[in-house]
Amino acid sequence: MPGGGWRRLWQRARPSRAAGAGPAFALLIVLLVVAVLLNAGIGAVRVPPLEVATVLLNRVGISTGIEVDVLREQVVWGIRMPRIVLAICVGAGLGMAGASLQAIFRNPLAEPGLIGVSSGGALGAIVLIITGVAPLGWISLPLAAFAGALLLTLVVYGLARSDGRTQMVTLILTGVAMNSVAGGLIGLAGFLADDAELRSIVFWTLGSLAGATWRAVLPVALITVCGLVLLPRYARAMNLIVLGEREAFHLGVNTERVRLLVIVLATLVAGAGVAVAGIVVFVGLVVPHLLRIVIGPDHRVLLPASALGGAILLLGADLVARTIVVPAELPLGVVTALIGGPYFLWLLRRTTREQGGWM
Amino acid sequence: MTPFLTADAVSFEVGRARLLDDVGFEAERGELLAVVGPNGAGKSTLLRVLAGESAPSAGAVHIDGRPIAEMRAIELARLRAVLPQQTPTTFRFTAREVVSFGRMPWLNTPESAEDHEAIDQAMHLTEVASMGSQPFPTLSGGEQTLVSLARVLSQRTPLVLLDEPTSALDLRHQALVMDLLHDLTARGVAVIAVLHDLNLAATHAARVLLLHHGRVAACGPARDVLEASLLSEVFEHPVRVIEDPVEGNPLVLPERRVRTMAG
Amino acid sequence: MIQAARRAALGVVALALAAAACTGDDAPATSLPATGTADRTATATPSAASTPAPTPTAEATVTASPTATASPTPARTATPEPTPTEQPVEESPQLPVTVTDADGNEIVIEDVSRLVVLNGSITEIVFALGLGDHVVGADITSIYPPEAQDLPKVGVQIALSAEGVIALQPTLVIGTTFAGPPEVIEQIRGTGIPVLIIPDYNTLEAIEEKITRIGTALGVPRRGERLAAQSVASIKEAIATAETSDAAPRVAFLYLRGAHTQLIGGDGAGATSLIEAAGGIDVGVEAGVRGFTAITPEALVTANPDVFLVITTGLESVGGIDGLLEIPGMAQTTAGRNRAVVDFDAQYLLGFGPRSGAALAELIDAIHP
Repeated sequence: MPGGGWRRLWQRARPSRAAGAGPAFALLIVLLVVAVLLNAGIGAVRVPPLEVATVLLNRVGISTGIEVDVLREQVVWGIRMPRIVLAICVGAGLGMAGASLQAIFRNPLAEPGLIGVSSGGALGAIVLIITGVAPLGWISLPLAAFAGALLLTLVVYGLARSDGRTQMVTLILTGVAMNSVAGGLIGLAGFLADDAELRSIVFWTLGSLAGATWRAVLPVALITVCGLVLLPRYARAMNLIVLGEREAFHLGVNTERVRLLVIVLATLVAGAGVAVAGIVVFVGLVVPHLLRIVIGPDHRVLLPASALGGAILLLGADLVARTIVVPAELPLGVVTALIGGPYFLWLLRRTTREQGGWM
Repeated sequence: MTPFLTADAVSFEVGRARLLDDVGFEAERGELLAVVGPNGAGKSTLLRVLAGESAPSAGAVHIDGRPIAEMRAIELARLRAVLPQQTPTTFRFTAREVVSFGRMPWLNTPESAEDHEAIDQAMHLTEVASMGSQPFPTLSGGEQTLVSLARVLSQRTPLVLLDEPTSALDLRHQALVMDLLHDLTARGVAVIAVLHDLNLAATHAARVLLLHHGRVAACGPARDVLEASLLSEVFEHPVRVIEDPVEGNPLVLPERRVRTMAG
Repeated sequence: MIQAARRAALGVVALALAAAACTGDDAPATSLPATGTADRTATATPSAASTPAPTPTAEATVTASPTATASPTPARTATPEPTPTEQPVEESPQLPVTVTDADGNEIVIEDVSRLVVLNGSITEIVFALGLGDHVVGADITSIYPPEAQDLPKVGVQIALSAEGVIALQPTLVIGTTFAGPPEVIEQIRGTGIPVLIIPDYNTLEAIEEKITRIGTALGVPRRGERLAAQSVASIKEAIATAETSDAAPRVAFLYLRGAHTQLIGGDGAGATSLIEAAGGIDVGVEAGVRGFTAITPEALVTANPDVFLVITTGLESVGGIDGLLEIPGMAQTTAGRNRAVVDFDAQYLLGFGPRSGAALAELIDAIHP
């Protein structure tokens, strides 16, 4: 199914559908810019907004003539910016992966974490940490995380699927079971690990963006961008699959092929983030849900919107994580879980009450 | 001239169960073929095989002279449209969006120029134009059927397969749908519809295919197939067939079982 | 849903555990909690944990203290007799100095006026060297001396925030190999702030090297040598009292955290060198335990310790001695029957610094009846 979702995004700005899409996108973009500026400007080290702007402008070749202290420049460019880019990548990846997986599983609960992307990715990375092998250098860890994520997702998918259908309850239970298995294996790894390894594992399972350096972020950004460009190509197919798997086939979608491709791509974008930031829960679940309420289920709009929403949510969560206990910081996974859990409960009650079921 | 759709000795097995057994028939463009039979006779299974969803265990289906097993999903989607019994989505697409999905097979083809007109026309014909902005899952069962039928119409294919299109509809809308199917045949579309109601089949179908335990019990003009002794045997219930005094087509009436109360 | 709620709970528990363990008041200072994944704590780094036979300690350290000086150290109370003055100590840090850190990096230290310390034991030594005024931030295990508790806290040493550290505008950051994550250390160095990483010295034998190394890095090598010599002397003195006893009590070092977490320490758990210097036998080491491992009641009865050595807050977490004795297997040991439970503050017992001689003396007193 050709037809780029991002291009469609601007066309949707016309009041064709629910008229909510255009303003919603404008709002999302404004929020993203605000979130980026807040994250660039706020932190334990006080850097005046003008200096932040100067550092950013200098990097794109614009000189403002303002002198910036080397240390503060390092803080803005060497610490905050890679972290912002990582937050955007991880958040956008999880958001779009969540929306995509929910579509092809025809199940609004198919969060990347639930079906094994997060724990599989963590497991893959931890196995690499424990065995200490890195056959391909710096890319080994993201690759291991991706392989683990893909493997566990395919196992969950394969087990939950019978007779060409994926039952909601079976999927959830399979996900819970496989996550327990992965959790057990992570625990076992922790038992076998020495101190240094254990520290890495703890860091991983809690999720954090503190490891963001340009060197770590760039491969993630590259993979994420690929996913964000490729996934919307299947937006129309996702619409049809959401309508019904039979209907999708009747309307010309090769459902098996699309399903497999979307799983691989979604795992790629979500897994890449997991590889650097560890387990970050709830973003992939909450963001597409919220946006579906506002702009409807059309994936040509929902996918890019979920990417934006995920990036905003993660930037916000990281801002909280690193400023609330200054000069220390909270694990990001803890923040997203504490925000996401209650929010999800509220959403669950609200939709159940208003619609008697999921959207 | 070869028929538009042919099924050659089609069998379909699931495990040990043989749901279709050596089914063969043809359908022409401009013809309404009704598929009838008792529950479990294999009607829906046959429709799945004709739609290309399920590959037959043996035999082959050809559309326009080409075996459908060799066609890609998108090619099939430009040849045939399918109305399943129900569309179970819970995602809140609007009725118009659902109808517009019928135009997906024509994306990036010259035919996509007709998109808006095809959608408008289909919604007008099925009388759902007024519910265009309503979320599909909030519609009644009958309304959902009509919207789905509009989606099928907007697809503008030379072959249309329908699985019990009238079962959720009231009298007026049943008539509306059957008239629409007549219109389709008049425009040269081949229509194959699974019908539960033998009298709808008798009234509207040029030909009737009677399935029994996965086999073709009879296939031909309604008058020949809808015959009292054959129907009584296939449905395991005595029926009477009379002639419609106005239209002249056969009418099938189930006999009341004679219940003799004591005394 | 269930999964999500479970994760959230796990996250909070893990955080709480990490925080609790790293305050250093009940966990062995050299180890980490296993964050909710298993009931165990980490083993200390193997290299630092190899412990020779008990008595050579004294010989090994005595030879290395000829330059010890006389003037009393400000932050110590349990210091033994000072040795005669030979050289005056530095009035102020003599800088710059170039040192090699645990990762083999050459580090040039030009300014120690603003220090961020990432480990409680190092904080203690920096204060004992008279440079406490220079410390502008510390990790949450830095609880001694009491002044250190009021310092801005940069968090758990394994999960630091680069910006949090940088914001304190340190001229030098000192930590052990536990400090991390590595990217954060890299980022701090990236801003031009020197970061000195030293090994995690967690045996009595290593105290001298630890203190002199820190003294050298801070430009006060003579103060370091003097403090090291005093520390070693106090340890040696304590050991001498232990040698007067023929008894070799069997000691079990326990990590306790509530009713469900009871681990026994062995090789590398941190207490072995203390127990052995005190003339005791570490039953964990004897049983072949590496690091910490969960106690099975039968193994405990088989090991049959004479004394339980515990951390004070850990003992409180199981409800004191009475609570401890309700744990299966505890009451059936000699230690259990005699209610022989010795509890210490974690940082005091396992800090391996200037106070270790005093701690050792107390331990010897406590385990020799």
